[in-house]
Amino acid sequence: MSLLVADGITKRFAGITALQDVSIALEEGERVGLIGPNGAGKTTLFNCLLGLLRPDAGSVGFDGQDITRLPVYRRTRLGIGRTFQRVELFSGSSVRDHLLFAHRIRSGTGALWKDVLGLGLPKPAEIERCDALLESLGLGGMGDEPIEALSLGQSRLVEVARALMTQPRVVLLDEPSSGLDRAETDALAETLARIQSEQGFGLLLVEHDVELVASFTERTYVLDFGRLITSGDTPEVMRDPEVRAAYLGDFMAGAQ
Amino acid sequence: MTASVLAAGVLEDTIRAFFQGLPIGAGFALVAMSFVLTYKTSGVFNLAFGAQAFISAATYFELHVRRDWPIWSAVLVAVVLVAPLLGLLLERLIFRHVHASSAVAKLVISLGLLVALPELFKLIVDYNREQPFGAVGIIPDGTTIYRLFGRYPVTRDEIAAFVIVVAAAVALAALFRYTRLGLRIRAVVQSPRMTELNGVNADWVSSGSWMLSSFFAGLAGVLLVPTTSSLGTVLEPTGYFPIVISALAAAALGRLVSLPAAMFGGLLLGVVTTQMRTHVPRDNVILAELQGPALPYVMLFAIIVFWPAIRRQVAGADPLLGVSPPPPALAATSRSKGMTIYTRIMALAFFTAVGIWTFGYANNFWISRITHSVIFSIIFLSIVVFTGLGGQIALCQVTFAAIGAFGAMQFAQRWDISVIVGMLAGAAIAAAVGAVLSIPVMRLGGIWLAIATLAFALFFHDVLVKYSWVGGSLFHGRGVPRPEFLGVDFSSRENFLILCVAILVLVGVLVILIRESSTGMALRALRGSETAAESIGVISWRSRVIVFSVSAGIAAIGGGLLAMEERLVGYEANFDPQTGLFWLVIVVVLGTRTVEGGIQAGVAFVIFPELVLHRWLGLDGAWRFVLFGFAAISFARHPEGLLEHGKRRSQAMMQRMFARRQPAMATAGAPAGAGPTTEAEAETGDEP
Amino acid sequence: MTARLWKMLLGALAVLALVATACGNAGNDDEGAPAPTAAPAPADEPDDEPAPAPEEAPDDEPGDDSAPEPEPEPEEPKDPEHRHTFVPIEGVPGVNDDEIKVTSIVTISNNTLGTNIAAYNDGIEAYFNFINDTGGIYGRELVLDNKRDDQLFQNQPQALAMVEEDDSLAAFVATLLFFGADILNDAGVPTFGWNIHNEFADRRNIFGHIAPSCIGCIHQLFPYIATRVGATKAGIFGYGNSENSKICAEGTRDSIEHYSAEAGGMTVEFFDTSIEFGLAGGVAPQVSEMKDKGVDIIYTCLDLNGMRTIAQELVKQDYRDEVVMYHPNTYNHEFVAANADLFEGDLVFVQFVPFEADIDSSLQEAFFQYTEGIKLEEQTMVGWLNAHLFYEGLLGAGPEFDRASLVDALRTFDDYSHDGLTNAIDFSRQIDLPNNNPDADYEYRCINAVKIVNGDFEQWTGEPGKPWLCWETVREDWHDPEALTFAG
Repeated sequence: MSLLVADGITKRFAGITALQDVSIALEEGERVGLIGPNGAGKTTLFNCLLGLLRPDAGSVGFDGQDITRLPVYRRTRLGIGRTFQRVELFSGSSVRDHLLFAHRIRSGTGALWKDVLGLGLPKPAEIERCDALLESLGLGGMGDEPIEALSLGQSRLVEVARALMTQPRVVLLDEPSSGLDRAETDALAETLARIQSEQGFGLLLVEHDVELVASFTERTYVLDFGRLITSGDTPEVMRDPEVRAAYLGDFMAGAQ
Repeated sequence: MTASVLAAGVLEDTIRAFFQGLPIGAGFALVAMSFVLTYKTSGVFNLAFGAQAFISAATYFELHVRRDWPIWSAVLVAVVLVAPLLGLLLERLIFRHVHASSAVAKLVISLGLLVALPELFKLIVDYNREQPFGAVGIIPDGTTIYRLFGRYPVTRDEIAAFVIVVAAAVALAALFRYTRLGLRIRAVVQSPRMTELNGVNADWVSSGSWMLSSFFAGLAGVLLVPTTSSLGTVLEPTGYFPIVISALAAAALGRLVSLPAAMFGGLLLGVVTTQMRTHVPRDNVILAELQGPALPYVMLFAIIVFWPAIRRQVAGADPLLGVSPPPPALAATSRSKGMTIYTRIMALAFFTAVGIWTFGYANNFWISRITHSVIFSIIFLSIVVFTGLGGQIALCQVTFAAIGAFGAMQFAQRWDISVIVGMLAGAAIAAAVGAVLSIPVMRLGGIWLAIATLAFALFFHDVLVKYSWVGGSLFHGRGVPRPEFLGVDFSSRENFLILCVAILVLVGVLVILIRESSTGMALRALRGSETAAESIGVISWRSRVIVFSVSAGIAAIGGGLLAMEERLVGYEANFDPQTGLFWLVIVVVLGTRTVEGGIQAGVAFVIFPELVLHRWLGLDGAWRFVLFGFAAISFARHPEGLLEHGKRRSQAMMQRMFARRQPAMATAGAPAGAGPTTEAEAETGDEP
Repeated sequence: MTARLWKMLLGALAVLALVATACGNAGNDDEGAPAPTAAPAPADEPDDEPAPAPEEAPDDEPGDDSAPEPEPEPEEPKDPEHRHTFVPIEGVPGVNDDEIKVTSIVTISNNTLGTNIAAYNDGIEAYFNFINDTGGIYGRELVLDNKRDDQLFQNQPQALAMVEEDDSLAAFVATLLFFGADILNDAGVPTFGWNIHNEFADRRNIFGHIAPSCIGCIHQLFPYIATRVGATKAGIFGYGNSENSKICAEGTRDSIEHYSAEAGGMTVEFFDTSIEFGLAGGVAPQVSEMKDKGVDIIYTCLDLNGMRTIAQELVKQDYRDEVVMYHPNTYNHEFVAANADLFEGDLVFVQFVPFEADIDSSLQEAFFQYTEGIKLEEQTMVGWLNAHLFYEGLLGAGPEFDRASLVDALRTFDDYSHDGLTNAIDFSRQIDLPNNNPDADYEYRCINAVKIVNGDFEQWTGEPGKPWLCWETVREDWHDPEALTFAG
């Protein structure tokens, strides 16, 4: 039984079919890529998995449970974390706050009466946990920085850290390389790979940076015009002439 | 009598009510279209409609009634000249500069204008000497009667309003659909910068659309005068309120963007009103309410909660809509230790001084004023909680305060239970009412939440207060004793002040605790980014409902204390919905994000008009509305409030002096022209 | 002093969050309780002034500051001998050797009623001019020293400030609501006012121009009016937003139903206490219903603009001529003149003897003389009546008066009609609201009404010289009222 399953997802917007009968699956601890050019339906699929959109047909399952109709926060609490293509951070909060928020909300210690009695304030142990994670992501000592002071690469790491604090079993990464240069992307990939192997969560990487996907994932799905055109082990997919001809050629050209 | 005769009678009544409803609906439609026009052309949900309408109507009154100008020249000046000019000024001086701000920020600005503009006008025209009483319409011989189909009477005023409504709907719809200007207006609203790139002068289009909508508001203002009795009593912006609620319901039918829907909605609600009054019996309390004062509110609530188009609009809206611009970190969080100690010592010294003066030298008048300041600080903390933490605008805090006050009164009068218990019970009731009220509307958020809460405040005011189980019995008055509590008698002014201060400290600590722990974290996350907050498991509407309830409870505690201080529920003096709008404005101006922001607003609300305006500057107390109303403009640029902004600036300066660079924290310059007085206070106050 | 205070408060505007805690300490410290309650400073102020010659009578300067310059030297009010006795008084607020000062609190700005309540001050000043022209009282002039603006509902802080200033003998109040009543009453300030509030009841130190009256009680006047105009089918309106208006409307309905048989089988055909203030939804359906049911008299508990809206709708539906309207609040000459056609033949209730009625009252004569050139409002007369009661109270208290003796004297007035301008009041008895204490009711329940003719008022009740129509309160059986005057 796969951990995260999308089965026959179809989604239409005002008559345009964004996704047509797409099925993907992700195992526990697996690193999977989802690629395709702009407009291929990657984001739509992503939003269906997360609960921001409800598919017109098909279902989404997580750990054997049908979650098609669950709202975002319920999926989060089951163990689905995410990051954003356009960085979404809590402006006005410090780096550590991001982790702390995620931790407390996930662990559900937030009853109002506790707050009122002063029992809801963050405990030293929690702060230590946050700092430990920041440390391991290479953000050690930045806990007190206002989020606005961070570089884009650091911001993406904070997003990852925030997602990890919700104790996810799978993390969905939405175009983590966008806006980053090669060196930054590589650094990010390296950190991600390390933390993933340490903690063992599954990863679904939506990208159009083929290099990142090629170097990082074990399996890859390719979408185009709302359809799944191929899937399999990443190296094989990358070698697939159809894929290369249809899309990757463009990307490679673009990359050079 | 046979059934067919009866049926014919009912049919006849229905047709008659239909024709009676159309002119009323035309009034609703005029206002609804005015709301829609402004929203469509500027993206501003313009609660200042009443102010704009008032200025044209009052200018007309001043010229035609008081100075005997002929009708045509008075209309020319009041509607054709003054109204568009006002629109132009508002756009050039204010709204142009806040184009990128959130819908809520613009709403707050329009609230500030609603408070400030009429008062400024009245100060200039000196209406406080002699009330604008006995206003007249702009249609010559407007009461001349015509008969439709020989039997259904209408007046010339009503025909004019109806014709203008239909003509305007057609003309404006054509403008937006077929002309280049209309397309440009729509483009500019959606993205001014994009439009600029396409070679359209966005500034000009924006000015033009404000002039157009202001003209329309002015026209509605003068046309409604003869048919609205509250405007004849005294020409006041509040005189438009009875129409505004129904008009909002009509505008909501078109999701605030469809002019034809607003027009048909207005006419429909007019007809619904007269049909209800024709066919529904009046002998039952609820039925009587449903066709009387409660009708507009029921219609508005029903539309907001059940009209599917609104849900769709909210679901499809820009996720940033209705979320205030991201607030920078509080100055206190980035302050050095030395500064913190210094500030605390100063604060302690200051409050010791005020304490010594109050308990040693102040007379009862000043003790009472200071007690009021403390109590209003508590009430304003409820706004700090909901607007500062929750990032949303609610316009019914005043109603929750009233519930607390009436709670204390009812428990003391009916069952002779301690007023403290009554106040707490009132707080519990307010919290429950807040939860029930907010569950259906909290998902909508932003503007819709503001509309729904304003409607609730007016509903309480117009419908509920008169019931003896709410507002008390006419024959026994609204007296409230001061408490005896834990064996201490708080009936003296001094003791009661101590009690209030203690409660303020408790509530202040409570607010800080909530802000710093889980609930506050969820809210800060929501403010920062709603999508991201949901991605870590925040249930946005539930967090907001909780914080709305807490805020309602705090307001109710403050309301209860206010009643004890005044020894009666001064409902009309303290808890009028109009007063509530000013509460929000003053807190928003001075700072919604911190406990001291609320306290400063409390002090400013009570002491500023008495001490600074009246005794010190010798000015009319109405200037406070003008000053704070215009200062609300600063909300778009400094959502943290002017004091916090000033504090941050002075702190940045101090820290530069100590040669410690602050990363990327420098804030922008002073707001141009906005509330220079308060700005100055902030600066001088912070650097003694 | 104020500058220092201002700076302190400027500081307040800028202090920080932790202040909340700091503030708690400061408040609870008690500060060693320095000087318990500071005594009001100006108590011995009269001492500071160079005592003027006690004999200096105001007659020395024959009222050259009284503007209207009345041609005939006004006749002195019928006075007791001691009116001009001067006795030095110390420690009475607002009283020095030359003047007796009073304060008024009046809804001037933000007045939502629209009518000119500020005319109340005119009435007081006119009366004070009248007294001062005829020699003042106890060798002193009456002075309306401080005119405070209620600014709509701010009379509680105004009252408190007035009490703390301690420089006025009495307060005169004409406000839309009266939240400051207990402040004044508890401080023992003799208070006179425009009685439109229940706060005038149950407070010994507070005196209205009329006594507390039974609200919503059964009264013969409603059916009686109908019998006079030949109407039998009543329509009744009250605002659904206001309890006051509702109770008033219900009282009218109950009265008519109670005396239905005696009043020629009169019935209430239409009863609506659900109309909304502002009447944004109009009253067209209601008027149609009344027309269908043949209503021929309309009673309301509405403001004058509500009346206008109903009248306009009656005209629109071609029904105005078939029906008489009874107005509770429309005694406003300007308004009625502007709406002459709408209100022709209607009846308007007045709380005192209207300007149109001639009675044998020197007080009324003096009123017209001293208000010449002033636009007269209902409140002008109310101010005049209040000032008169104050003056007579002073006479009753004697030359060595203070606040308490003034009130004591007033509470002995058991048959007081302001020289016939109002129904006779027993101030010793009429303190409570009659709804709560039947013994506190008027001896006679009286009405005074005018009829609107060509945009002006004509006396409608009573007979020449006897403008009041009265029923003995104790008699509940249906009987014709008696024409009375309380003058003389």
